[in-house]
Amino acid sequence: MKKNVLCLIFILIWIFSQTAFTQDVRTLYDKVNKEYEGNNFATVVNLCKQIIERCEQNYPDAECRYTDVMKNVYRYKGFSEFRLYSQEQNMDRLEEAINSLIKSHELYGDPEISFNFGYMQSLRAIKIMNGRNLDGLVNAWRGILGLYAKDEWQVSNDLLNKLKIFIQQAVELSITPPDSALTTGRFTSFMIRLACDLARNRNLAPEDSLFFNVYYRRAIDDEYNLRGNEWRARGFETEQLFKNDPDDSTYRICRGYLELALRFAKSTQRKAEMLKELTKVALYMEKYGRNSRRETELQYAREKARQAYTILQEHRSDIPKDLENEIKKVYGNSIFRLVDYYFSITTSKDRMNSFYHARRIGEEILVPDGYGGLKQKFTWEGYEDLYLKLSDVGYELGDEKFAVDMVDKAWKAVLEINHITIPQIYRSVNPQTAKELLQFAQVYHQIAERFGLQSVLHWLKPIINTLSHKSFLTNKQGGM
Amino acid sequence: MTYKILCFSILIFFISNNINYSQSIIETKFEQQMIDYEADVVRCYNELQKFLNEYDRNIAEMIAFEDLLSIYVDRILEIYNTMQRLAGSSLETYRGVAARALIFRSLTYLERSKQAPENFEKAINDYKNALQLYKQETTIPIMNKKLPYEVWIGRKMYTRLADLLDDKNKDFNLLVSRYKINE
Repeated sequence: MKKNVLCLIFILIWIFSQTAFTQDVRTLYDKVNKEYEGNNFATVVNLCKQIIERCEQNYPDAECRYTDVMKNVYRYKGFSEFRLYSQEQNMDRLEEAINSLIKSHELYGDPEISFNFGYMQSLRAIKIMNGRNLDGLVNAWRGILGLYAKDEWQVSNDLLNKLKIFIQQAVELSITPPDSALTTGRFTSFMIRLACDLARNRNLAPEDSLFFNVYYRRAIDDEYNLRGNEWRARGFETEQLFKNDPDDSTYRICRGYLELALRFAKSTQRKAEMLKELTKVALYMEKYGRNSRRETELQYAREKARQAYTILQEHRSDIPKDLENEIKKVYGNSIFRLVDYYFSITTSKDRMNSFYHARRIGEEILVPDGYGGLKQKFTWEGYEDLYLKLSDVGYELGDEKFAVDMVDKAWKAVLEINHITIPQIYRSVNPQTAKELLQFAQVYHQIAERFGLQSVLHWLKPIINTLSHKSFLTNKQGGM
Repeated sequence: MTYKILCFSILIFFISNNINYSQSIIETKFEQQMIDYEADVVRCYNELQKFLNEYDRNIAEMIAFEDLLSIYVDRILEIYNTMQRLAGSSLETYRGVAARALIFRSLTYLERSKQAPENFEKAINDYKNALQLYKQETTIPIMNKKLPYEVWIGRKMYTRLADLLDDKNKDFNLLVSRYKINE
């Protein structure tokens, strides 16, 4: 009997405590609304969890059966968890936020929620470097189409912003992870085209129009190669920063982006373009970069330019004329700079070895001219300087045939570039041109003297005299 | 009294006319949306075919294309069902769009049916539902009608669903399943 009374008292206490310390769903829900408005996200999550726990009991409150209440509970929970994730950067929070919003969407198919959890799924994929996970994009797009239909097939400002976010995530996913391709990028490219087309259904402000046009272009260029196009765009952007501030860090970033653009390039034109750009960047670093390792950069530039030239030779019909000229220019320039580099290491103990090295580098773009000499494979802007430099090399090496051949080619090249003939030198020559020609004539004279070419000296003397006189006039005018 | 009845009749006439006008605006809008969505379905299908022709296929992207096409088909079916409820009977244009969308989804599911057997089941269901829309119909079957757009697979262009099905469904799995269902 006593035992039964004790048991009854215990049960009564338990019931009393349950009613006193737990609150019903309605009260909790009202609190959730209030706390969410007050931005107390941790409290909101806690209260929502309490509601969900109560609803999982055997005899839940009536509110647990109301879709409007429960979809909001999961919605508040999801958004609050996302806010907490933004503060803490804890991936578990993000995971919980996604699950809560999916639950809310299951209860009530709100397109806004679909867009939001799609966005969060893509964010998670980007954070964990899993570009293969495209579910987020699909779900976000479902949300976007839902919102579009909800607004009676009109693109509102809010939808426009969502489209921008969507595009940026699609781009980011296509280059996640940066160095290995988890997808072909075809789907993301297609999604961007769809998003841009949807945005263009309304009149766009100039800056919005520019945004969507740029991304549409990136999605369709180079056989719909979004990934390659994005790296190319980032590469060019960083190249500008690098030129303004040529330090090693920016150089490395810029080169990395351009190398990725090269790796993911689909067309031969794009490959050639990226190789050309890499050559340019390396040459710039060698010339203007702080603490640059000259030889390394020049060798790198020469290698990339050589690859670009090989592509040009094999697929000439795929390469536009202006790109062809640029490739020739950077290739010739990188060879010239490397020859000049080895030629200028005069402090080296083994000078002759450096000169031989310079000659071997130069010979990379020399081919037999059919008259027993050598000529450059192609003409480029500045090819006369390379001939002149190689003639210097021949002079130092004591190789008469090579030195004379090169200086003769240099002399003919400089005349051709300036559209001038020897009789014209005597008659009328521009003082500026005279100054330029004099430099070549003097080297020619020097080589002719060293190797005892009397007839050449006899022919050169009046030319040098005329050019000296004309260039003296330039100096005088400049001085005045 | 006669005057009042006349005024009332005119009012009723204007109201009913207005309702009919609003109804027709909605129908036109729905029809336009269905056509737009169908264009997206075909665009998506064509893009998928281009992707499948690429040397480095990716399963994640194939699934994403499938899901995306499915979103558009669901929207088309939603409008079709709404119109059916509103009009009481299905209009030819709506029915054609819905049937074609279902066939395209069925063909899309078929692309991955070897790797994912559940896809084959989905393909059969869509195919069956598309044919169901044209059951006991005296007009030309949807399969043999000329498509209002072109479908490209590689270098081959298709203008009828029947030709597309013949090429894509070489082992006649969908046709066999249809006869089994009818039996």
